[in-house]
Amino acid sequence: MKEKQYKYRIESYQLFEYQAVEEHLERMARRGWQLEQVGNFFWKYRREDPRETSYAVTYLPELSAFDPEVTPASRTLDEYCEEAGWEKVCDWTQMQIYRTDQADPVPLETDESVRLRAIRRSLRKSYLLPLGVLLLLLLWIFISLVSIRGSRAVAFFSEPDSLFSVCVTSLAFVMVVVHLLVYGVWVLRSARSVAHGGLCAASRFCYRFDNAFLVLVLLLLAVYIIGAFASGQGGPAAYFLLYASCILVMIAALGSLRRQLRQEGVSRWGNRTAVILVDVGMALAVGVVMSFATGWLRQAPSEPRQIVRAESLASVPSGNSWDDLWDGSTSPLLSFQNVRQYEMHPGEDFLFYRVYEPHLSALSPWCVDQLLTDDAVSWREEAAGSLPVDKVYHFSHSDGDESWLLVGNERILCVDSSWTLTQEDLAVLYENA
Amino acid sequence: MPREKFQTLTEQMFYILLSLREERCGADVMEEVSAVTGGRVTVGPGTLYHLLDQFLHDGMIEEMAAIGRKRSYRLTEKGQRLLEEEYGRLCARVEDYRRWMRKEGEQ
Repeated sequence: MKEKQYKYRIESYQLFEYQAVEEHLERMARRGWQLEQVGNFFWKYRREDPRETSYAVTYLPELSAFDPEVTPASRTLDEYCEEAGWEKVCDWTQMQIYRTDQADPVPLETDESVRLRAIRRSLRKSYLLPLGVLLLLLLWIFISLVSIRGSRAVAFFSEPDSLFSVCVTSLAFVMVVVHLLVYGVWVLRSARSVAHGGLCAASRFCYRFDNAFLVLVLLLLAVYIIGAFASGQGGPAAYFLLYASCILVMIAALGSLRRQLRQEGVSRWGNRTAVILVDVGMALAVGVVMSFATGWLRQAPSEPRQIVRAESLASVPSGNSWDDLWDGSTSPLLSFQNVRQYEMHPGEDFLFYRVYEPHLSALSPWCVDQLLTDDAVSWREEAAGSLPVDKVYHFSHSDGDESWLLVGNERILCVDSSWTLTQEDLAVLYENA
Repeated sequence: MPREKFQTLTEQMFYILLSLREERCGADVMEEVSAVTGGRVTVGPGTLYHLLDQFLHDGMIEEMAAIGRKRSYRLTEKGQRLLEEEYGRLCARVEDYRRWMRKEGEQ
């Protein structure tokens, strides 16, 4: 069997975990794999004879990811390294990676305070700034999510993709916070050590943490996809997969474009402008694709559950026909069904009802609290009477419409009608919706 | 106690500045430092690059010529002053050490 010449791996190192990077590359060299290139998602290794190779990294803080591959600064550094017997392998943003086969090479860095200063300067714009922006964005999304109130909040938890979004956003927030904290601790420990003549601190935490995080996200994704298809809501899951695929393709394409322009020596400004323009173009294209996909993927199941027809209720005001609209969703936490019925020509009568079925009994009181805080309605508790429920809430609107909230053991029913429903009608609705 | 930038010089900084009392290119600085110290002090290429960049930025050295890709540098007056201050500090330490040892010897 022909042996693989190249291998691609996801390496979850952070830019400041240089010792872990060096040790890892030396381990790979002993196994017969030499680093060739660091890409957007993968590190590319080339098959060679196993040997003892020393790897070392240094940093060029002034470099940008959009600079040409060879700049005056990188050329000068490469020259000094060549004099000392080091061969340039590749770069990873500001990190410059070198290797040598010499037995006892002169280290790239011989002054730890200088090394620490270079790392801190490098990470300011390529690590702290993007993480800071991401943290603010995630915080804003998180605050938006927890600010949802009322029936929207309850319906939100019936949507598997919403739950998945909350989980992933929360995990991403935790990941960013952990990264920033770990980096902060590393800087403090390194500064203290270097001030006393020691080396910069070693760090491998983010590597292990990110690998565990990736496994957790993939597991969540699998649970979400399987759960969505099993509950007949494969459409939204397929929509999410398509969207995620488009984003990954975009990132890969933009990364390739940036690398290509770097190789061709395009200036930083030219490279950045080209990437931004292509980014905007691709984003628009993804928007068009997803808007088409919305039509044929993001729709509720075509088979509605049992609908209690308005015309079947004893108190219905007229004998005209009714038109109805239905939507709903189910998640591991909650099932939700929304039915809207309108009287056809010439009537103005309507009957809307929403059924909430929490799958965890602990969720029920929260659902009721949220539904009772809907701004437009001032609920008044009434006696349950003969209704098979625990609590009944009622509100009469000034225009004659009525709203009911029936809270039972296993389900919560909200009803809005343009006429007064009888106890019998409410019982029929509660038991059959 | 952490050292303020260039208030006192590390060995790397001291020997790089010392070697630039004559005009030299960066690669020759590494060789010269190793030769002068008998291999006791080595300056890594990464450290050399960063320190030359810092010295240039702070006006302690100046770029003399760029022949092809090779750039050469030389100490400025400011760099010379810093070097002399560091030399003075080192001599003061040596003198303190000798005085201390003599005192112990007399006791």
